[in-house]
Amino acid sequence: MNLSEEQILALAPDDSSRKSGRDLATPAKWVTKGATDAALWGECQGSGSKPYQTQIDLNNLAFKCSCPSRKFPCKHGLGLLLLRARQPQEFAATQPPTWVTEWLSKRSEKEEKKAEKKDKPVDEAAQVRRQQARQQKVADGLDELNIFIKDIVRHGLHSLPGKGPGFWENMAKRMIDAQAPGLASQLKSIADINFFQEGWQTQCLDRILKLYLIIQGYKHLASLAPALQQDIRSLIGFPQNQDELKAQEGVRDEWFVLARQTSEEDKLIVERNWFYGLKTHRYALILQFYVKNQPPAASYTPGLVVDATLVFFPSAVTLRALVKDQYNTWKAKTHPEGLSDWTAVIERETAANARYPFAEDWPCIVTRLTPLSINNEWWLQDDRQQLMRLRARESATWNLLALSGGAPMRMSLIGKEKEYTPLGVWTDNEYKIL
Amino acid sequence: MEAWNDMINTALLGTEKMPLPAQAGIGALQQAMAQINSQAGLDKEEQFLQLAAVTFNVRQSGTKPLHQPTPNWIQAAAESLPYCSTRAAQVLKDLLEDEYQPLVNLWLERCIAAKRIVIPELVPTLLNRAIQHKEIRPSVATVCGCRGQWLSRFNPAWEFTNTTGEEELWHTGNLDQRKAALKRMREKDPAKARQWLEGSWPQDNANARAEFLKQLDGAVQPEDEPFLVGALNEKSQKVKDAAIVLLQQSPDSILVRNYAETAGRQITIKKEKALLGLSTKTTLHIQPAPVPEKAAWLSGIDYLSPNKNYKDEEYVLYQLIQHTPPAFWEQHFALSPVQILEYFTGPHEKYFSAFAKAAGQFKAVDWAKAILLVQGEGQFGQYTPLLQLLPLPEQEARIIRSLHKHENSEAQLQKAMRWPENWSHELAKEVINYTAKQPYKWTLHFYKDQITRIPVSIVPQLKNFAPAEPAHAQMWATLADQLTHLLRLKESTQNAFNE
Repeated sequence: MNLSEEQILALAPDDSSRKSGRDLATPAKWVTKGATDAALWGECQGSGSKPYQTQIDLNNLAFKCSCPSRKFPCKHGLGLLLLRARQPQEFAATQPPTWVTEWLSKRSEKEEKKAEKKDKPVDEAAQVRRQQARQQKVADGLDELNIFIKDIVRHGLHSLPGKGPGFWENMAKRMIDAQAPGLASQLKSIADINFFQEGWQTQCLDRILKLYLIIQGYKHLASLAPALQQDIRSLIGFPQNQDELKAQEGVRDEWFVLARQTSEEDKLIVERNWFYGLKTHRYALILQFYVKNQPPAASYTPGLVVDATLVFFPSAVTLRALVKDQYNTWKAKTHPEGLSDWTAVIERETAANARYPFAEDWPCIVTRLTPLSINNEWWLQDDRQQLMRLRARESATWNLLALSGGAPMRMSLIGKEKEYTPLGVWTDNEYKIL
Repeated sequence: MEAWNDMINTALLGTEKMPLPAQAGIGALQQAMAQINSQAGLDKEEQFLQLAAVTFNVRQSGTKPLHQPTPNWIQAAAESLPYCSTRAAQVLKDLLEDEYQPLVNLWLERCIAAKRIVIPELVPTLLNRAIQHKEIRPSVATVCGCRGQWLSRFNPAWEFTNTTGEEELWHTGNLDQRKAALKRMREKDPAKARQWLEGSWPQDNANARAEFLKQLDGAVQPEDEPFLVGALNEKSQKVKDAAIVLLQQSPDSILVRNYAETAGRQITIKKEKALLGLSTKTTLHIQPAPVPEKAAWLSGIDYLSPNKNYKDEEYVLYQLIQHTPPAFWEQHFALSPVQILEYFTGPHEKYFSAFAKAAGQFKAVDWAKAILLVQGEGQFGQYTPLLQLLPLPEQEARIIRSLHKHENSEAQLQKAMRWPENWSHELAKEVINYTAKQPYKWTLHFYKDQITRIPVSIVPQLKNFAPAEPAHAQMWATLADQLTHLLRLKESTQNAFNE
């Protein structure tokens, strides 16, 4: 797998690691180094008496280093990967040393054991009792939330800006007590709305209505289609057994990694990886949760293609998925198909909204969009002169403009209704992350 | 969407105060609303929430994009130069992220020399960098190519890329912009800059006139004289003073010629008989003339001496010498600079430094050499600035020699820090040998600033400069590592365009 420097640096956990990684990307820093198709390794002379042993599994992009750093990947892993990207001729194709082969074989053993692991026998009666107790608690919690929402509607939204985030957080805590963590996090997202910015009324009412729809959905669960029932349960926060999911057949495809977005929620890093299947033309969202400075289970670099089998969570509109098996990764050499214009995007979105009205954003790829400015506002225009508002950080907007030069480009985006955020663009078949 | 706006209005004030929105919308929405309204047993809030939820779904499923033709939208022009290589772009990214500004400047120079432009994704970062670092604006504008110019249309802070509007800036800009435009034009086309100034002179106020004249400093040409002489008739003393300063820089100006003639009349060398008439000797006669009031030739000359060692008339003569081109005296006395200067080493020594100032002002290299010769090696003191007039190899050899012998090392180091060219290996060796001994004083900041001057060839020797004191040696070891890294980056920058 040959990653570009940009893609390697995107793996860095912070700026100082990026900088130190770059500093280590010189042959002089490495006492020994070598590579095969499967692995990359090197010994880096650090401040200790013995050099640090750094190794990288190239098939599934995993790092290991004997340095004491808690960061992941550490600067040595990044430096080694960067050095290979810059000067591949420095890496002789040799037999890997024992410490590398041992690690690689341990990794594959672990994978096998994982696959062989069988479920422990469970006390089914106790499980049913626990489920019933939880369902009761959730139902009580939803009644309380319904009253809370009706109170807001009765007294009007106008008083909400003055109430502060505590108003929503208290109710979120009540939902945690009611074992409905999904609702709790949606209440917290209302607290995050900027109540002093134009448009807060729509944002706030949208979220309140979604909560109301979930409450009503749960009350009438039996009358809903099975997939939508599962959506309502997931939105409330009922867990989904991932082992059961992984036992399903799944969809094997070459998945183009469109973007990796991270945010911090309750001291946890939430990583959203957006995939697009080159053969199945399906989008997938792979979520990862991990504690800051701890390694995520897997690393997906935008611009790479991952040959993997994904299992989609049951849903009226399947999007969220798990990686069941990953076989190989490589740098994308071509661009995926895309929708022709905004009309096609809206049609797809409308079909999805009709089945699943709760989505925050939908992903899409559009073949020709032009970023342009009208009355000092930025828009994305398709070939039929239809415009949607561009929603992006200032630096990303300038990068997008610089790359396009005012000409149309193939673009991956996420968004909904009239606002979209570009994730990346293709120039000369190369994917550039924004 | 009108139905949604109705929902928002009701939600804002609350169902307690506002009636439920009337049935609105069309088709399916209207039907759904009628169905909700007909349900029995729903309280007002529940009814509103159901109506709003349906409207919300209709809204998000029925989006229509804005349709607006944009016939005036202009794309960036096609570039005439090729982009830099991926390797060169990566080097620039590293430099930009790590704030290595002197190396960024070097990269820009190399890029321009290689007739390449930067890849589009780096254009915004470079333009932003040039907002803070004004000195790189012209280079950034060049390497950002047509894409940079096109982007600057959308960001006023990047307008500096638009070099075609220089004359417009001169006519319409504020004082600072006009000064900058004039200075740039003066460097590019001195005659045009003067024409600009003459053209706008009647409209500019006295302060602006004085400020604009200051922009011509150091680059006066004989063709400027009529305009500058005219400026001497200005009412404003500020403008007059600025014009005088400029005229004093021009050896052929009427002002300088007057100074020279007046000074020449007051200083003569006469032959006199000696040893009872058996031989002759030459003697210097200085007769400072009484200072007439308001004489035209006295423009730019102070009447009153601030120094008790100089009488008023002596001080006036001192200034006249200071503003007279030294070459005048060679003709006046028909003697060489050294011969002339030797007359001013005895009782008339008080005028010696005036010749040194004149040599500096008129960049008279042979006079600078003569002054340093007459004054003696190592005794330059106030005449040190004259060293700058010597050829660079000669200056460099002096710095190396002085640093090696630890003579006036700090002053030599200051000179090295302003050196107009890259340091030779020998000079770098002496400089670093000196600075490495004080690693707490000459920190990484110093090496970052000087990095473009330090040759990469010094890397293998850096460890040899370690000071004896253990604490300093440890500090130097760290610094040497950092300096090595910087020099490697410099090497990558230098090689980035070798294809």
